[in-house]
Amino acid sequence: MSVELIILIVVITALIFDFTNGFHDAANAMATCVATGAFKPKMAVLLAAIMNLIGAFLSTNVAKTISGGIVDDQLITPQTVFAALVGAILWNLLTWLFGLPSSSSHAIFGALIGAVLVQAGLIGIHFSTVASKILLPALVAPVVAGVASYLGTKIAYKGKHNLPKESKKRYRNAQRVSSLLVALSHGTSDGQKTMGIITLVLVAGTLQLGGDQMPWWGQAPGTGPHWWVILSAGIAIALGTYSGGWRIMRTMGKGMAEIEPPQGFAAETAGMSCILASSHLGFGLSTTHIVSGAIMGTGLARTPEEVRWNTAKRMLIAWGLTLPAAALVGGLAAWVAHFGSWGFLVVLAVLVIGSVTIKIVSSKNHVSHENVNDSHEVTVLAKAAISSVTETIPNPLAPALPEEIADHPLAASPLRLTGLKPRPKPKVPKKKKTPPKSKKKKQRKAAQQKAAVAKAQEHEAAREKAAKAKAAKEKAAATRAAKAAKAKEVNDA
Amino acid sequence: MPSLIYAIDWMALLLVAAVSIAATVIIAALMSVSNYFFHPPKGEEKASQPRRILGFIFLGLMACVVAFGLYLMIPYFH
Repeated sequence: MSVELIILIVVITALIFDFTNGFHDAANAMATCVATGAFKPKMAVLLAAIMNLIGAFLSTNVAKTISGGIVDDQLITPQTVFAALVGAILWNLLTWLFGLPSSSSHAIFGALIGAVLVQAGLIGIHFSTVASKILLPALVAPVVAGVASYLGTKIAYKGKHNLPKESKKRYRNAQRVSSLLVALSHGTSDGQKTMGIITLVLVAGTLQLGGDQMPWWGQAPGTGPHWWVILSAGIAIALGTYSGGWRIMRTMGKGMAEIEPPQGFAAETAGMSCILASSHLGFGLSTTHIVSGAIMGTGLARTPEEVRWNTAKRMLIAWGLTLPAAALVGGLAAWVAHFGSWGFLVVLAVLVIGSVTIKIVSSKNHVSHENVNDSHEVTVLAKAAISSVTETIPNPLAPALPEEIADHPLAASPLRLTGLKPRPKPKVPKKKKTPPKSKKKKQRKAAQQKAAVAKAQEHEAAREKAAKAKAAKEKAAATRAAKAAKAKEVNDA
Repeated sequence: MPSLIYAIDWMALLLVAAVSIAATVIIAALMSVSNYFFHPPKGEEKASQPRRILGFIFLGLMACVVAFGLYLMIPYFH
């Protein structure tokens, strides 16, 4: 396989990684906004995508090393980078399938460690740097962001449990601004990361080719990224963000705690502060870990009894597994790619088949912008909850229901025959219509008039009745008198 | 193990933690105070003019913090 073809495949794979990075991390900026209704889901991802794109153009100071010192950079070849990208993409997709927010940077570092381990053994890994740049920050980030967010929420609520509607509206606006800033910073840092990977691969490829003439894509060491690298990396991350990553969005927005706009504001502000402080004060922290910790912190500050520790536990397990699992996939990919062109193609085929399989499995319990807020859980193989069932197939074996309940929407539930009780619709108390004041007055007047008319009619009827009775009495008396007179005449005769 | 302890920049870690928490507390406090001034006192329908002005001042201070965040984020400025 020619060097050019390998470079082309690696660049495309890097852009695919950038895309998965976008949809994996879209939730960091927008999950709280979608959960609190600050932005409608589609609008949220559109704005985050635009901010990502702007961010990618704002900062093009790409890193001078891919690994940041965690492995010996002299051992990195285009094949190693390819294996690392494959490992990171597959881990990103797998965690997305389970709706688990995990760090994309940790995924690529893990896969890179695995690939270098296979190529050069333990000597190629700088374990102290792994501990100081990956393991410790993974422990510190959620704690720092959680404490900041906890305090921010306490200040926002001022010790109360709830805030007036108008206050929440103002916090919602502030939350929008802080979320957009998180999206912008994500574009500057992660867009730059992919640009760095592509640039270093192009430099390595140019050096491998040698010769006097530099190819159009070629790059000398120490130069900045090509314009098309900046553009393609920016577009890839923005498209990834726009595609949503709704499964992770559900876990972060609804899965850990139920949040309100002041909490969303506190969480995103804490996230923003941590991201900026970590990127400017020399201790890099993962955005995903920061925002997840901030959401937990805000949940603990307002409704500690409603925090879902089960989701937090699953998330922590995923964080712990990210490095070894990505290393395993990256190592395997590097080992197979080591067998030359055929090995390279086999790894590519595994990537395609793996990605398509994950996509097919995810479509069984599809999460989209339409149902992202319907539940707090992301199911993979189990049946979706009744609230997400939109179409039901009538069962011919179902016993006939009494006519009076046959039309009820729950009568068509697929769970009716399984013995499970379908979830009843929540009872919403009907509000009595209160007519406006003037109408009320009119009604009272009309009622009074009606009562007066009824009274008069009653009176009239009674009078008529009395008159009739009197007439009947007189008639009877007259008849009696006539009869008596007649009897007297007969007697006299 | 000792090399691992030396490899970690503890000072940077403490600084990042302190700055992150302090920045969040400051922004949340500014927002909370601004919100307090915009909110009408009990028995009144609308916040008075001086209260609203104070609310806007604190909102402006928060906008300054946001602008500083943008300044840090965009390498062109520094």
